[in-house]
Amino acid sequence: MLFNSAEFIFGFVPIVLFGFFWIAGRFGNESAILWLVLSSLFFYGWWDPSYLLIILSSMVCNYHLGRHIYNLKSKWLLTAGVVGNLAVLGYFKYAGFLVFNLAWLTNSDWSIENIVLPLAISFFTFQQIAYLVDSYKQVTEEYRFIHYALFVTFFPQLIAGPIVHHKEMLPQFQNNNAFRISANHIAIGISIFAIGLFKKTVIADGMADYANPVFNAADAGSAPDLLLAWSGILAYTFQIYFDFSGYSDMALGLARMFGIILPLNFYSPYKARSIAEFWRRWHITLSRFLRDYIYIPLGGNRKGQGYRYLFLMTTMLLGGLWHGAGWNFVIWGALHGGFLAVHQGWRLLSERHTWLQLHASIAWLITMLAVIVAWGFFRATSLDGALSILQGMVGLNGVAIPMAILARLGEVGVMLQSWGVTGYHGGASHLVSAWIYCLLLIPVVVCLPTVQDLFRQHHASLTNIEETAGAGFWLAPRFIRKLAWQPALVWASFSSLLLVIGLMTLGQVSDFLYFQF
Amino acid sequence: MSTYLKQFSTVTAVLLIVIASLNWAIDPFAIWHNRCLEGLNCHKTEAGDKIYLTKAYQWRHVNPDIVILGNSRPELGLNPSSPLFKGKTVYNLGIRGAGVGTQTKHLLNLLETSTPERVILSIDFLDFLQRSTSTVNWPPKPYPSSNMPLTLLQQPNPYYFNNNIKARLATLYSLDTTLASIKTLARQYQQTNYTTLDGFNQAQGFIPIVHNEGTQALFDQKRQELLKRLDGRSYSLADKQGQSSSFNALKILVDTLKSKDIKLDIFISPYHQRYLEIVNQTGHFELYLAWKRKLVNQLSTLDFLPHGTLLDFSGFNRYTLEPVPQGRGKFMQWYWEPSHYREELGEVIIEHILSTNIEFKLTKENIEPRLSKEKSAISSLHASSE
Repeated sequence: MLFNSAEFIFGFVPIVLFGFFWIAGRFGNESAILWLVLSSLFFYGWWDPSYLLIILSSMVCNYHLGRHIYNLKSKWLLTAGVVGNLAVLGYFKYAGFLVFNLAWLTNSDWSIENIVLPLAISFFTFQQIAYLVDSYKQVTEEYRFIHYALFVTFFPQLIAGPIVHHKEMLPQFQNNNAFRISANHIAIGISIFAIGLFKKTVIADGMADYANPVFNAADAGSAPDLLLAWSGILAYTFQIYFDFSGYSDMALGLARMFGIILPLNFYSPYKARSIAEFWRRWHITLSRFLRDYIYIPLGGNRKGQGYRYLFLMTTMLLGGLWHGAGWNFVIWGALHGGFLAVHQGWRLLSERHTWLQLHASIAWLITMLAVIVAWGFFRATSLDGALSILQGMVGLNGVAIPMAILARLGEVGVMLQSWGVTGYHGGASHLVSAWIYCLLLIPVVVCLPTVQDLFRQHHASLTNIEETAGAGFWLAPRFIRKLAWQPALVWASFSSLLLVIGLMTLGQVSDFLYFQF
Repeated sequence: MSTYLKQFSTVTAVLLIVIASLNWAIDPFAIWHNRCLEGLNCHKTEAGDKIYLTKAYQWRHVNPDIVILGNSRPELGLNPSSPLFKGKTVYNLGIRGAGVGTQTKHLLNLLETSTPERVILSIDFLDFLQRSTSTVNWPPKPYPSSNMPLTLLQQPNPYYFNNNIKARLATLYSLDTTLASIKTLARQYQQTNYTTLDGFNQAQGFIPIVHNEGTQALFDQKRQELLKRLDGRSYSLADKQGQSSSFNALKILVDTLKSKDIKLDIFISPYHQRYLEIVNQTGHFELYLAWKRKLVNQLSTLDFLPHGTLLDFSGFNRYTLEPVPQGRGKFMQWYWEPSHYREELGEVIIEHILSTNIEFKLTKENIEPRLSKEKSAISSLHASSE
């Protein structure tokens, strides 16, 4: 079941929500938690009931392992648990990729049967690895299996995050207030959900119409020219932004209706003025996991600058592989690792030589260029496809304009043709629309506040963060910061409008990009 | 917060009602068959993008005497309002991109509620081609997305109930429909393609292209499309078991109309000479001739030819040999581009169908001499171009 599907919005959510509060009132909190766990498992099993076996066995094993690790403080058990989780993840996610590459390296015909990747396995595996580590560190507390099951399966965060810690969630599940229906939570939750639904279904899916043809053609061997390549990659840059942003908002909104506040997972990453800041804003809980469970245990910044760069690169390579078993994801991770290392070096240098400090707009532009280039590898399904897009972006595939536009340019058109600009038939309105939408979305991602900012007086997330004058690249920040959601008619109308427009897309339901991870 | 929730619910309900009313009134895909208000919703400018939806519902409100069937060529070329039809109610069921199977399925569903006296079927060479390596799955399974009550084999479509509800709801509440309603309102007086209430596609979208880029640009574009489809590919008329979806569907159509005693006129669309040159250039001209031969044989076997009419407007004749003008703003008399003829040529076709004129009639007796003539014509064209 997708968040942006009619069966979810009109069937699943109302039934689970009202069932939860009714059961809590009638049979007590524990019964309500059981209801929520069963509902979440139903939500998960909707795609394929056979997945349930994997998530249930994973939960049972990890729960008991965690208890033993906590009681025995055993490093061996912890290691075994982490390795076991990674082995399961590795089998489902990377076995095919590994065998394919081994066969290629050894020129053999080894192959492996197509292994179906269980939904969200990366998310619930990482979440439980964090739980095992925290059990070893003795930061877990006594609780029942049903509470643990809810921490893993709670449907708003099950499929695509945020990757939550038990210490963030369990106290909330044990708080009596969460079991009493609250107009406050419902109003905030539904408003946040409406904003997220609009971002995902209207903007992200709308931009997919402009990104997909360019990338599909490039993967099929065509060479997009300058304008087309840029329109395609910019469209994807916005598609993935609003896809993830919208989904994260929907997750926050849904959880809030149950009185649960999730950690922040997405916070205006395209306002970032450095690649490090980008990663503090993009997929925040994954970045936190990579930092706390890979980068710092590797040595972090404790072993000198050289090692620091190496650890950054290693962490980002693993982060790339986490997103998918393919060389393009490895390259994407390596690029970001490299960007982070360059940024770190530059930061040290500019501390010593202040004239090297860049103006905010220049820093933002360079950061965005780096992010956009890396998206080319992330989105293309082949290396050739990604390189073809990049070649197009630097003009190596020429410059072409649809004849319908070129013919209307008169003398300018003749001049452009004399400079080597060529014309082609068809696609004029599509290209123009792509560029118009891309240009319109730049100020949207740079200027507008997120739900974290809009709902700052109402705790949209567990994370206590606000845009300040020094962070991010903002246009007209003073004006924008005045915007704040209030329980008033104007916000009710605005949220309702977004919800209605979002609902109107249900007939054309699309997949959420982050499902593939 | 309770007040907020009440406000939110009220605004949501009002918005839903307003949007549904707008979409119902404008009816951009012509499925609700509302009153046509000039300058407001008569020109269904967006129906072309959802033509399968439009053509699945539009006829349900028409009880036509004559049905025009085929792909985009008759859809753009044969005007149901032609004076030649002399007061008959005519519906153009031509569907852009539809193959013979889809066309037949649409007609069979129309026949469930309407009893036309005549069907005019346009057929095309390319619609009968299949990749040489492909295997035909016959009988075809119903499409999960089909919103037709009956399948091609005239059995109940198991997906119809759900799809019908979804389609009707989507035409009231979807974002696509709402944007289409707004565009329909804005484009009533623009030179753009639009579908009329009798299914005809007014191909006005070609006009600004001819003015700005010239007819030659349209020919160039079609040439590229055809080359992309035909060049370097191997096609056949049937698979190894001799099965052809298109010929099988044609058989169903002919047999059904015969059993219902409905007159059927079949004609082969006129292609501009440039079109056939590409067919020849890509090595498919012999297949094109073989298709005509097979068509005549099949229709003869179905006992169609002695009673019905098969007209062939393709090949090389005074219409198809029309020169292509160079420069902007110069329109052709008969064609928009090599595969789509204008309404003017459509009138000629209608006139021949409704008359006893035998100039374009194709029979078992004259097929071979006609094919030889075409073959020599393409050879001489080829020789002169070298």
